[in-house]
Amino acid sequence: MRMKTRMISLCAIAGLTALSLAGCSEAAVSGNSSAASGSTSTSAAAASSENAVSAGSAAVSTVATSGGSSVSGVNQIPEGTEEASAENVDFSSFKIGEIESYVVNDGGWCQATHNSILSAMNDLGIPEDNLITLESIDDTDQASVQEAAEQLVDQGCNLIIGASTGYSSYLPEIAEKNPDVIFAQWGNKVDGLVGYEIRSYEGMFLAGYACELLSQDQNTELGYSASYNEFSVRTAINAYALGAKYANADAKVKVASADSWYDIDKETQCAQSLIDSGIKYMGMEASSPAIPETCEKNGAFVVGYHNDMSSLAPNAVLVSFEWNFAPIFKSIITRTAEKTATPDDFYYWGGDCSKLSDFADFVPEDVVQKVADLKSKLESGEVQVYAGELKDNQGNVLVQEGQVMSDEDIIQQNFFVDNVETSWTVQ
Amino acid sequence: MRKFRYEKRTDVSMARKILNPVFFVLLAFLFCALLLGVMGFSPFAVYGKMISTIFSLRGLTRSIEAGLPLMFTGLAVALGYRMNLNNIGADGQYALGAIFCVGVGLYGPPMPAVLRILVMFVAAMLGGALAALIAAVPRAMWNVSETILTMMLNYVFLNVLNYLMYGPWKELNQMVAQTREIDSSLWLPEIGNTGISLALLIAVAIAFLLWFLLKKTTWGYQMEVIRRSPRAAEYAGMSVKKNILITLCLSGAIAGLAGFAEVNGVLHRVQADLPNNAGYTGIVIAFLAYLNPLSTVLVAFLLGALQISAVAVQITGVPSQVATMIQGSIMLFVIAGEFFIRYRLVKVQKGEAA
Repeated sequence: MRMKTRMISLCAIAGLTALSLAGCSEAAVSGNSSAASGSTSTSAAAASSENAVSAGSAAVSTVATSGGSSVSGVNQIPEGTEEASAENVDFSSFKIGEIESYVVNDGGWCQATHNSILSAMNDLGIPEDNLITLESIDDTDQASVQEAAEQLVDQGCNLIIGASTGYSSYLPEIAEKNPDVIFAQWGNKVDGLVGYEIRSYEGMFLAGYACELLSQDQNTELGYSASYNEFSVRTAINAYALGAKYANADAKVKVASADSWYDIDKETQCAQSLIDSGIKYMGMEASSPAIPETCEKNGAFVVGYHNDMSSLAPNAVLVSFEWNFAPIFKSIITRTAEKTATPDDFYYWGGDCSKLSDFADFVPEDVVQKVADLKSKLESGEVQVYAGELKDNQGNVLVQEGQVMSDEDIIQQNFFVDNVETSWTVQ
Repeated sequence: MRKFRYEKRTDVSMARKILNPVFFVLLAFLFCALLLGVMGFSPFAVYGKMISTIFSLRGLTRSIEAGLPLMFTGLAVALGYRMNLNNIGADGQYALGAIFCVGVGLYGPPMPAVLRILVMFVAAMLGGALAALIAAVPRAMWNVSETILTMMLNYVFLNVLNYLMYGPWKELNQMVAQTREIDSSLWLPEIGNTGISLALLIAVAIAFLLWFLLKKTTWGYQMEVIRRSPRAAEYAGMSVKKNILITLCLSGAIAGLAGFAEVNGVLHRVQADLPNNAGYTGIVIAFLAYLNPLSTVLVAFLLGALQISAVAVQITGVPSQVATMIQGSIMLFVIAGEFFIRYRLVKVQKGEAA
């Protein structure tokens, strides 16, 4: 459920205006506010080192084989397999279709996915013209989503990527009709679609750790300016809070919520309310530039999200969490071209996929070094993000002492950890 | 220099009512063709794609599917305007109708499938009517603006819907903010093998019913009198208050049925943000259809077709904003062109004041 088109509201304005003016001569209509802003960094992370193994995948190798409502066989693809036999495949005629809920230069989610696809194509030598992008396909609009998918099939796409969770209810029907085409769907594993998701908690754990290290002298409370009470957002908040706790057992994270995927006003208010309550360092989950800009105006600091946001607020963005799907897409494309991909494939990768950008120059060197040290501990498995004993903010024990949370529970993220202060509740 | 003035038409022929919008649609296409040309796209390729999409069996089916909720919200809004009641709240009524409907479908007491479908149908209407009633009572009793009330209630019911979808009613172990599917025994059948839900026939039946009520019954006549002069209606012994309550609630009930159409006919579940502004689009539809229930269904279908073609034209390389612009231009031109149905331009004669 990412972003919504604003077009219909334009029509509504037009309709209302015309109605109220019925009979008058002129109808003035205000413009469509299709917000398209932000940086346009083209290749998010082309140079990703192969064979990176994350902490989480070493601990747990099978995922989502039980508990899910209707998922049959799941073939989890281990990390770092994208280079398997890419040299032997001719990719020049490989076609990719991309369905996005908003525009690809949104400065946020869609841009991150789009750039990852372009980066993967570039690495494999697929011409850019072989990518067909359909934008602003709303999650709630079954007819448009299915039409988009079938149009892409008609164009001869070998692989169709659905970048919004809401598509997962409509794409299986089209996938079933077109067994020669691989459909990849962001989010948890759905029957008939290749699933892909990133261990975003790794990057956000490091980000929370860095913020707490920086803020300890002033205030142990950190902020989080969040969009919707949704699994990916909860993952980011919880990992950020756990990272902060790793730096300081007393660290707390206060959440302000916009209850919207893209709302400049509400996001500004969220950031401002956190700052007004004395918070100086915050994380964010939003696509608009509102939060970094509000922080910059108030001398506060923020961890960018989705993409490298440093250009939006160079004095406020400490570091950014970036969705780097490129290694995953490289693997999906290669396996599709080799005809080894199956709709049972599931990707849950961390490491370079769960990427942090470079820290800003004003972040002290010792903090950067400490984060780098913690990163290597995560990679070696010495530190586990979701290690016991772990409690939720209701006092329930989520993970017993000496145990680690299952991947399935990590993906669902049906909890807030105990040092998160939020009005949101989870079922 | 010659000047023009406009003059109200006394009577408007059927041909003008039909040909005028057609002319302005063509004008919109011409306007967009120029813009597309300037932007470096081929208008022929874009329009070709549009037409080939809409006039395929798949495109027609999808257009009907996309237009289905719009038919109900359009009818709801049109009915309200028949009595000068601005029901801006079809979005919220649709939301509450969907909540009631899926609530019965998933959590209602055990009962046979056919009965449950009927109860869901009634529940959707009740939900919509209830949402409208909250605005109808202050409007009828104290003359509070129903425009503001219904519009503000949208936010309330959309947030209730989203709360349920992200919270208590969310499908377990799934990430999408939506309920689980209703049992397949509750799905409305397709019309033949077309893939079109039976819900379409419900929309058409309601349109005929409304047309009949408005044109052939005393109640329809009363509405017309109240629309033209509430005072005269009062003198004639008609209860304006009662009619406001009935009309707004009926309008809400029809909008609520959009929930039934989606839950039982198309999606088989409810998701966050389900109405997707269908209530607001309904305003445009009702207006384009001159508040006629039968043409409302047709216009809703055409808007569905525009929505589907906006997806398809992106294949030609046109960005989504431009596809949306074409869609918006067509509506804007037709709405603006409505002026020429009501008025004609007349040359100002010598010696005549402009």
